[in-house]
Amino acid sequence: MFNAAAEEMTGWKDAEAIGLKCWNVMNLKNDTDVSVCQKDCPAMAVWNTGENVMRDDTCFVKKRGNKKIQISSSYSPIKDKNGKLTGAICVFRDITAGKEVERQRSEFVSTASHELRTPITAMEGYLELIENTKICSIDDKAQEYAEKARNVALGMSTLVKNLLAVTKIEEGKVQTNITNFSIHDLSSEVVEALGPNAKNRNLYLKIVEATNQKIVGEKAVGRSLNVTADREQIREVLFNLVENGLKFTQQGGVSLSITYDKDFATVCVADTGMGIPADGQKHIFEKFYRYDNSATREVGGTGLGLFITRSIVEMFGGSIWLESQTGKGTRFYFTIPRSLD
Amino acid sequence: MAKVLLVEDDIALRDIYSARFMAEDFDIVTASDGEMALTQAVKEKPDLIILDVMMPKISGFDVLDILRATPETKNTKVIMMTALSQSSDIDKGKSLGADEYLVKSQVTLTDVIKKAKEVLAR
Repeated sequence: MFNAAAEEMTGWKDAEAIGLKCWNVMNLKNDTDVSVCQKDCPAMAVWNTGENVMRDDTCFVKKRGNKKIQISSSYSPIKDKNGKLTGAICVFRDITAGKEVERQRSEFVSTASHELRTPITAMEGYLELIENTKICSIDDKAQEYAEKARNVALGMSTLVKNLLAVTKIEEGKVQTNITNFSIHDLSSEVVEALGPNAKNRNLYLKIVEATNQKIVGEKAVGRSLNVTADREQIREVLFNLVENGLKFTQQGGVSLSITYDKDFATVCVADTGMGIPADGQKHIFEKFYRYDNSATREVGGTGLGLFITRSIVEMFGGSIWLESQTGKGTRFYFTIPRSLD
Repeated sequence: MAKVLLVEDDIALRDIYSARFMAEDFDIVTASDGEMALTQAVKEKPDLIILDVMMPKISGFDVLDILRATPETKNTKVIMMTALSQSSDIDKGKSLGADEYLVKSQVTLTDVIKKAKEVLAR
C-alpha cells in the first residue's frame, strides 16, 4: 500500500509504485548522499530482527527529478497471529520545514556573531590606546578602569567567538584541513604564545619532556612524532586547555606533556589549581555548564570552551578526559591519532 | 623612519592601527579598499604593507597577487591580516608571497607591531 502522502513525497503514483523494488521508489540517501538502500536498508533490518527501527540520521527520499526531502523515519514489523513476519509499515515524516527553522536560527547566530566581532575588536583597540602611555596620559584611576573595561571586552569577544564555533560544530560546518604535523612543535608554540599570560600572574607554563619513552615494536621514539588532524583546530584545543589551567590556578602553574603509543599521541595539560569536584567533573564538557561556586564566579567564563574542545578532539577521532582533586589541581588528557607515515 | 601602508576597510580599526603605529614612530598612510591600496602602494612606496584580506572590490589575496606582479612593488614587504584562520587560507597567502600571515583573533595590537618590526628587519 502506498498512501497519498507517500505519492507526494516520492513522486511515484500508487499504481506505478506497486510491484517495483522499494529502493527504486524510496531511494534513501544519507547526508553524504550515499544510498542506504543497498547496504543499510532499514526495512531489511526490521525483516532480520523483527524489531522496530527508527532512523533519525538524515535520510532523503529522492523524488523523481532528483528533489531531496529531509525525513525522519520509522519501520515497524507486521506479524500474523502466529507471530510470523508478513511485512512492515514504513512511516516517513517530512522534516524539511523543521530543518529550515534550524538553519535560519544558526544563520542568525552566525551573522550576529560576525557583526558583533568587529565593534568588539574596535572597542578593545581603543581601550588599548587609552592605556598606552606613549599615546595618552591618564591618571591611575582611569588606567585601572580602562584595564577593567578591556578585560570585559575581551570576555565578550571570547563569548562571540565561542558562540560562532558552537554554531559551526552543531551544523557540522567546521571546515577542516587535515595534515600531518608535530604535536610537540604545536604545543611549544602555544606555550610561547601564552607565556606572557602566565608570567603576568607569576605562574609557570612549561613543557615537560618525556624521557626514554619507547613504544613496543618501535626502535626509538623521537620527541616529535606526527599526528593527523587540523593543526589550527588542535591549536584551539591546546589554547583552551592551557588558558583554563592558568585561569583557575593561583599558585604553581601549568605543564604540558606528550606521550605516544602505537596509535595515539596523548597530551596532558596539568595545572596546580583549585580542582574540579566530582559532581562537576561529570558535566564539565557539557554546553554552557560551569561549576558554580564563589571561586569560579570570580574567574568568569562562558561554559563553552570545554564543549568546543571536546567536539574538536572527537571530530578527529580522539578522546578527552580528566583527573582532578579539589585543591590539588586538574589534569586534562586528550588523544589524537598518530599519522601513518 | 619606516613607512607603512595600512589597508583596512573598517574605519575604527584603521584609526586604532594608525594611532598605535604612529606611537612607535612609523610613518603611516592608509587605504580603505583594494583599489586604493594598489594606487597608494605605487605612489607612496611604503616599506611595509599591512593588508586586510576581506575587503570590498578587490580582496587582499588579489591585491597581493597584483603587488607581486608589479615591478615597483614586487619586493615590498607584506603582512596579511585576516579573520580567516583556515590553514588553506594561510597557505594561499604565503604562496602568493606574503611575508607574514596574521589571524586577527589570534594576535594583539602589540603582536602586530612586533611582527612589523621583525619583517622590516629581515
